[in-house]
Amino acid sequence: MTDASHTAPSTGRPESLGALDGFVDRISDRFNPILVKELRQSLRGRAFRIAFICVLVLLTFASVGALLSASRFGQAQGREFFFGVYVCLGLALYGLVPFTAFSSLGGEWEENTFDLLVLSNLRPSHVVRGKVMSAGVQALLYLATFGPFLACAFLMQGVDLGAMLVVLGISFLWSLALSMLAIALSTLARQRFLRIGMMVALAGALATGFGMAMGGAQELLREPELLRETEFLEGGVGFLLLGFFVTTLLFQIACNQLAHSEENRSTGLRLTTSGALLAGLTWASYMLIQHPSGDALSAIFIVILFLGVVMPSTLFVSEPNPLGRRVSSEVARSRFWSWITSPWLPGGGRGVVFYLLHLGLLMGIYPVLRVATRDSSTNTIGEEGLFGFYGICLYATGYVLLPSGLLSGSLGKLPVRIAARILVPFLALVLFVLPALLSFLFGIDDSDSFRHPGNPGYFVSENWLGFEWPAAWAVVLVFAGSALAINLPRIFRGIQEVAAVRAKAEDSRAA
Amino acid sequence: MASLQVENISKRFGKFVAVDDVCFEVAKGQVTGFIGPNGAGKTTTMRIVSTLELPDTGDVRIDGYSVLEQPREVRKRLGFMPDAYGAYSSTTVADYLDFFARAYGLRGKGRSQALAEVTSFTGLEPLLGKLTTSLSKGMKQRMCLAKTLLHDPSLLILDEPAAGLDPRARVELRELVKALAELGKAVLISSHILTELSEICDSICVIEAGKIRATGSVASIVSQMRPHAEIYVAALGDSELLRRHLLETPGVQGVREERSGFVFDYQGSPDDIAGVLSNLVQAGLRPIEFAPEQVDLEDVFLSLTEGKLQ
Repeated sequence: MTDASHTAPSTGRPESLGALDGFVDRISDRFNPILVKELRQSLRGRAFRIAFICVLVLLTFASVGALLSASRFGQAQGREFFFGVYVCLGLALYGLVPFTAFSSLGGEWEENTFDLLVLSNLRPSHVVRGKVMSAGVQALLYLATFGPFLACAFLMQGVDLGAMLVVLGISFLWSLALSMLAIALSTLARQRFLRIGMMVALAGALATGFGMAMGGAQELLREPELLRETEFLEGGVGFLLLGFFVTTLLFQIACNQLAHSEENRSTGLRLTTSGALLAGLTWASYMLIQHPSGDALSAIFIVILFLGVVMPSTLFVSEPNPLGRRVSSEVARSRFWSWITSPWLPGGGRGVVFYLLHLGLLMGIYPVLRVATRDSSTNTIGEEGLFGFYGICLYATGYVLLPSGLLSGSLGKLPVRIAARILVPFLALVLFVLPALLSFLFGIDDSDSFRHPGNPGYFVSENWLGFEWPAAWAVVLVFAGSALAINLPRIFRGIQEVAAVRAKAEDSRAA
Repeated sequence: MASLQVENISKRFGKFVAVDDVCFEVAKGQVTGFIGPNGAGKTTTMRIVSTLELPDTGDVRIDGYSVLEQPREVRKRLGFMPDAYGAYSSTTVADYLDFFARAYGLRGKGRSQALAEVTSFTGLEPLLGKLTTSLSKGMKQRMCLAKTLLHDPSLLILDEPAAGLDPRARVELRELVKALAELGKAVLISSHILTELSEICDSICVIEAGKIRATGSVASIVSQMRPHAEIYVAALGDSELLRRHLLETPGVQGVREERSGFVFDYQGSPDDIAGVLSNLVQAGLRPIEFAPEQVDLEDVFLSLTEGKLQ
């Protein structure tokens, strides 16, 4: 555009506000464009204004009611007052704010603006971050209205100021997490009929979130001394870590859903999984060393194995094998870094390497922690917990790698991909139930049909000293080994592909 | 130099072949009409060019950048106006444009200047304070065009921009497109209103059932389609004399009576056609009408396409 005149656009605002507008403009340059747009839209829109006024009116009524009852009974009513007002605030923080975030992203499809966003400089992460930040600002606005009521509650006595502030701080984070959930759900359903289903799911999640927040707040207000207990704080840190990684995972899911299918939809999730696993292990190690207890180590590691390794890896190993035509440019240019980072690049073969790395990390840390925590337990997963845990790892390897390894040639098709994922728990169930069913049908041993190597629980409980049941070990090793062997060709292809892309980039740079 | 190079792209949706080995170019400062019946593959091609879809095979280059490998570079150089363009609710025109300017990475004075330029170019200044939802179709179209121009793209893809516009808005849009081409931008425009396109397009690209049927300037396509011109002639006096003269003229074929004169096919250059007329006059005939038949875009379109539905 070179021939047009350079007149400043008139926005219809009074001139006295011009200087302020300029200042706001300069400041807002630093903000996410989606945040700026959403805030302008909210402030101009009727929905937010009505909701805001309603919450304010509700808060006022609740506080007047509480004040009247306090004066009637002549006792400290601060806690009841605070909680009454907090319920009203919760409706906004855990209902209105996440729901607005859900419909705001849905609106991008309904108003045909999503393609326009894709064509701009905004990446999916910008869009999602902007929506979450906008929800955060709205939550802060609601919380700001809470200020006078907070002072009132404090003056009425009977409530701990620290507990109140902690409740409000956690409420803000909780509202953000629920908004992130709402946004992630919104990205999963672009068609209207699916959106209705997601809306119902969101309503359920928000109701649960509301209930949890109210329960937690009531507990903390009733027993504010909990805040000074180390165990409570340690648990709190664990809960915050869990919340942070779940929210980050939801963020990555939302970003992936907004990205093109040929773009990188995996690295973010893989990095989050690795981060969550490391953080989880660190926290668990700290807790186990601080509070050694008999059978906690194996139990915690099995939970971490399934939540932090098996579940996410089920998604990664069942991805289509090729990198994707828009991912090639993201491969590291140096030979060393391309090797190191390849397990975090998309593709089923590289997903298998990712799984093995993380499994290896768990298997490596487990014996170290056993020594550190002096765990010599006779616990539910075997006298020698080490072999028990390693046995479970072998089962997990078979479950995770076998379905996608067998279907690896057709993972480019969505139904096959879904089947490969569903088959993981299905395989575990079949291996658990089928031998029992067969032995029952053929009357081989009807005293205890579940005593077979397909049952991991039986395997580890019988395998007291690790090698007392060599036949069962052989079965499990063959199961995990064959699952791994089936996957070897695609592991090789996955690594080769990264090397080829790097070499091509090097050639084109040289040319 | 070609701003847009579409290199043998194909795209399938399941078993349906939406685009089949499509290949064409659009040069800088040129307006290319992209025409074809409904479901011919126009929108899919445009979405591939705009990086919104990926071709199964082939590639598209915009100023040398590949839509497959460098979509971010492509998007910096591309302005796409889809047929179903969106407008946010509770947003004024000024806020709408400001948002997209920010989304395109324009900051501070650069943003104010870009906003001023596009609003001036599209004549949106009086509407900046209005809500986008209160705009007429033509005004929304202008707003979307202004948004498309914010980052000063070198290639514009306009998908059915004239659909649903009243005659005045159509004329205004035509003028804007012409002005953009004069600024050196390459424009690929699809429309069903062929008379509109014929007035602004330097070349056309006809697509049907996912395949390119013809590409080039309207005149060159016509000359490929019809190597001979169809000429109507009427003269005062004895019509039989005129008919006999035409039959004796070299190169004249298929003389048939029509209205008060004759129509004949003639294969030759414009100079040769002028020679036919001067021969008529020299032979003492008194021609009052001599008109080579005009072939318009609609005729080209109808001749090239078979109305195949995919």
